[in-house]
Amino acid sequence: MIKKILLILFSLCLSFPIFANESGHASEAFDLPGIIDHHLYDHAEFPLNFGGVKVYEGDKDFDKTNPAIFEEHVEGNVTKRYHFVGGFDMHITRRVTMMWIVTFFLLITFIPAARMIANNPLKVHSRFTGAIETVLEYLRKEVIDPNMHGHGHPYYHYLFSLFFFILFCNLFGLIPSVGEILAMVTGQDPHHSVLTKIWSGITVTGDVSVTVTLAGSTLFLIYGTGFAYQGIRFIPNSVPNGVPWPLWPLLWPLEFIISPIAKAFALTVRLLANMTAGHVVILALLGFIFEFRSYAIVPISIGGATAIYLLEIFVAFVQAFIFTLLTSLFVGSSMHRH
Amino acid sequence: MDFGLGYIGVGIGAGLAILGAGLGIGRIGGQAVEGMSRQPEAAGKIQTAMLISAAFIEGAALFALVIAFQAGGVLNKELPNSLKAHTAVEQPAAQPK
Repeated sequence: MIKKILLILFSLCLSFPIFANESGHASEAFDLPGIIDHHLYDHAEFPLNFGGVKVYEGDKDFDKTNPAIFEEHVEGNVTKRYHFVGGFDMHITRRVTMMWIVTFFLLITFIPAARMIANNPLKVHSRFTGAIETVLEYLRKEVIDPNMHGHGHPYYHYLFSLFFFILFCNLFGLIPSVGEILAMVTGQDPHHSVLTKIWSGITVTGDVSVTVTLAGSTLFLIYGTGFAYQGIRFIPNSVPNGVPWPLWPLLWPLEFIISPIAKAFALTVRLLANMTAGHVVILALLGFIFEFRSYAIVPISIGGATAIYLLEIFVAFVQAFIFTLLTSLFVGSSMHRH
Repeated sequence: MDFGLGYIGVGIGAGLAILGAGLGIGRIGGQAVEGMSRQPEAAGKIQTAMLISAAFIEGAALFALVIAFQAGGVLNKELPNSLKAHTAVEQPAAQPK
């Protein structure tokens, strides 16, 4: 009975995104593309430029459409807006700060667990280390070892890190923006507070740059493993055994060049689209409340958004697992000639 | 009119993509349940394989959805430009003779 009540309360708490609209905008029309832009796309938060030149708002070179405009507080409570021109621009965006938060949580989760397990690998320490050991054992025995024909040992570190990085990134995109919540609780404007800038709550893997980098490291591993295990013979050995020689000009570019690129592209888009699509559906469903401004739509909207939210949690786990599974499959298949 | 057709195309594309995904995942689910009914002790392995296949098929459907989103974004970006062009052309035609 208590569990049912708590479950219902939990589902209602998942409707917290309603409070994303502040009270002063009641007369404006609902702007779904703007909401999607605010919640799903990347925005610059902190400046970091080496060797560039600041261009302030009143100057002639100020570019209003520059995506990285920052505000500077000079004396007398005046804020001047500026952006950089030239230089090596590495401004910190929302994905970067969320990635740092994910890394922090990864470190505080796994370093104590690793220490406890390394103290005595044969003893059962606690439920926490047991949980982590279970996941790692499953990954090792069912995912990496079968696909890598027993040569998986050099890849354990990278593949475990990859799985947990993608998993934590996906899950932290589902937690509502703690920065905005803390800003609201302490009375600041949640859209312009520094707490929101630090923990904006967006999905790190919902950005094509992040997924392209992860898929690019898989691509690097595919070629690297091929050359490491088969030497320079990897290049002719890409074509499977027993292919008649007239087919070689067609099959070799396909197997050696296009196949790894297609695999990396599929990995990129699969992770990116799975992470972004669920959020778009949730925002659209909750946006019905703002668009129709009627109480009748609320139960349907919240119910649908809760259901999609739970599906999104499942998809987060599945996508991390699929990425790791496919990486180990592709790397394992380039170890030996087929 | 072109933009209306463009948006119709985006909608039909996304719908066809999810139609393909629904068919594929439905088939996988049906075959998996049938396999589990034939051999209940293999149910765990069949369930794992079913989830993995469903994730792949969903990934393929989402490729098409990403393209639909991109097309919608391009249409959204070009829409204000085309509206400006319309009003500039219609004004000379409204002048009385």
